[in-house]
Amino acid sequence: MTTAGKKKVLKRLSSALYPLGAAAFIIALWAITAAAVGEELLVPSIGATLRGLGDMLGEKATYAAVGGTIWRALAGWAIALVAAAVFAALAIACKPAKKLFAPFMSVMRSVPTMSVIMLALLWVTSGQMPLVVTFMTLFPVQYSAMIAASEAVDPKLIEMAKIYRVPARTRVFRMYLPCMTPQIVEGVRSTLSLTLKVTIAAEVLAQTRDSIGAGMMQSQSFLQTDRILGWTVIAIVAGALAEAFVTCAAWAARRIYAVRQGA
Amino acid sequence: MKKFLTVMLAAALAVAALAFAGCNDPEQPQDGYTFVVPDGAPALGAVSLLNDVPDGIKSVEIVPANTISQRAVQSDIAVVPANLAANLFNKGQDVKLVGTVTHGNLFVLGTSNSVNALADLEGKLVFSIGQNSVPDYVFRTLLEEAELDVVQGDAAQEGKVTIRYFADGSAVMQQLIAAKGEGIDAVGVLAEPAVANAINNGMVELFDLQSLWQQHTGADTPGYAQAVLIVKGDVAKDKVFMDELIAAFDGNGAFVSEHSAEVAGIIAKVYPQSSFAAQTFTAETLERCNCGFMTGAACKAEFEAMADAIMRINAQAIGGKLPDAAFYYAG
Repeated sequence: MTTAGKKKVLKRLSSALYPLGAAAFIIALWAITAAAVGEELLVPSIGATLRGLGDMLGEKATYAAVGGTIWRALAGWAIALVAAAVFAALAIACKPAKKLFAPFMSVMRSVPTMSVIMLALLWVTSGQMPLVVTFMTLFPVQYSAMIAASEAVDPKLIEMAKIYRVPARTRVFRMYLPCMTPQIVEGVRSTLSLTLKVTIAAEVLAQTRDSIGAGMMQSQSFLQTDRILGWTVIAIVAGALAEAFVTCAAWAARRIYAVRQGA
Repeated sequence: MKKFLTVMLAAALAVAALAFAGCNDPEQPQDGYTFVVPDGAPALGAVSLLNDVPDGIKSVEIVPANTISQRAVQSDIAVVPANLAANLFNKGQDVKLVGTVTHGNLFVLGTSNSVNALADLEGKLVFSIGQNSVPDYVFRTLLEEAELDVVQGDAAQEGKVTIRYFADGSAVMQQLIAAKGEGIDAVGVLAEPAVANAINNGMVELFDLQSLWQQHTGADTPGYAQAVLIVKGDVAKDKVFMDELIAAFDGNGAFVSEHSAEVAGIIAKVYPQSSFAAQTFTAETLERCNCGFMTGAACKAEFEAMADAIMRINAQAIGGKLPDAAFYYAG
């Protein structure tokens, strides 16, 4: 192996040390806290939490809950994404539409999640409620990400397209989409873990059947603090997997874009 | 950079250790005991103690009902739901059951009086409070005794009683009012004092779950163990104080009926955010909240009937088993 090759390997290794160090820090902090409090019902030890998590993984209800929550989170996220794409397309194509949407978007952005939850409780079922809340939270965020991505398209390109009367289809598929996609994917990735948080919060308050939120609430009523942490670990893993999935998509999008640029 | 990280790490650890060590200071019994009560009907069972704190208690707090489990662990004396008392004991907490504080205040209400027996609830959607707590277990025990299939869901199912749970009585109330406005027949489980409010809004009382429970157990009790008084083991050994505490709880019933108009104010003074803060109770409503302190063998029998019912539905709610004799305060 060349010296440069060795250096590269060392660099890779040391960059793996950072997340490991962070994990070690969290575990150490947890262990110290649990020992200092000395009360399993308030701060369960790592061992107790792992046992609780193990028990949960052996129960059918856990999988129904995780499946239900992921389904609701993804559905809410996807509906918000499609709606945001439609509205963003309208706004990009027509400037007055963008101005018209602006006040609605800023209202939606500042509506407290809790007030959406409280109102949705009155109007929709406990199964639909997390979807509504997720949509309301994510739609303006995703819309803004798309508008921001469109603003990053080179104005000279837009000018050129206008002058040469490039057909709308070509403009959308050869100019806007290739320029915007990587940035949109980046923006959208960061909303995935937010989605899961909002969905779970809504499930707790709606007492949705087969959900991580209801599972957490039941664990709280049954004094199973180890299981509340177990559910938390499950939610974090689910969020990480979803982000990893979109990271792969982002990488693929960049590759496709690069290929098109090359061609 | 490395040095900086190390210092930050050490500092964060030290702060965390200190912060949590602070929570764990052992209580000083010579200063008196700490006492917590959840907001809601259980607080009505301790009004006279809130008004005139007995000697030996250094702090009285009303806490939100959803934090009572954590607060009970940290306190010397607590009023808690019956299932939580058994669960704390079974999870290794040194607690003793002194007495029952409230015996149930649950009623089934409807937008019309189309339901005459529990069996008529088959195929209907019922809005209810108290999932995974006493109200849920009482209602489900009675439904199952009537040989009805119970499921959780958002829409009525053929041949089953479908329950949709809400966090509190006002959410159930809103569903009932909405249904009534649309001319739909709807049924909900509510607790006093919310029931009085619902009746004022045109709802009809269908069942008194306390009397149905009496028929179920065949025992001569005012209802079932809903909220109970527990104390930590070292408090239970303080006989002089225990006698005073029990006497104070014994006096609560008379105090509440004599001062019905002041009850909400006394609670609001201790806990301004209380759900009762803006209310004025009538003597009749307070009567239906079913407070009445009960100790000894009668309390044990009432508690065991409740714990037994919970065991059948979900043993985890009481920590997996019935509490043994060491749980009951002998006096």
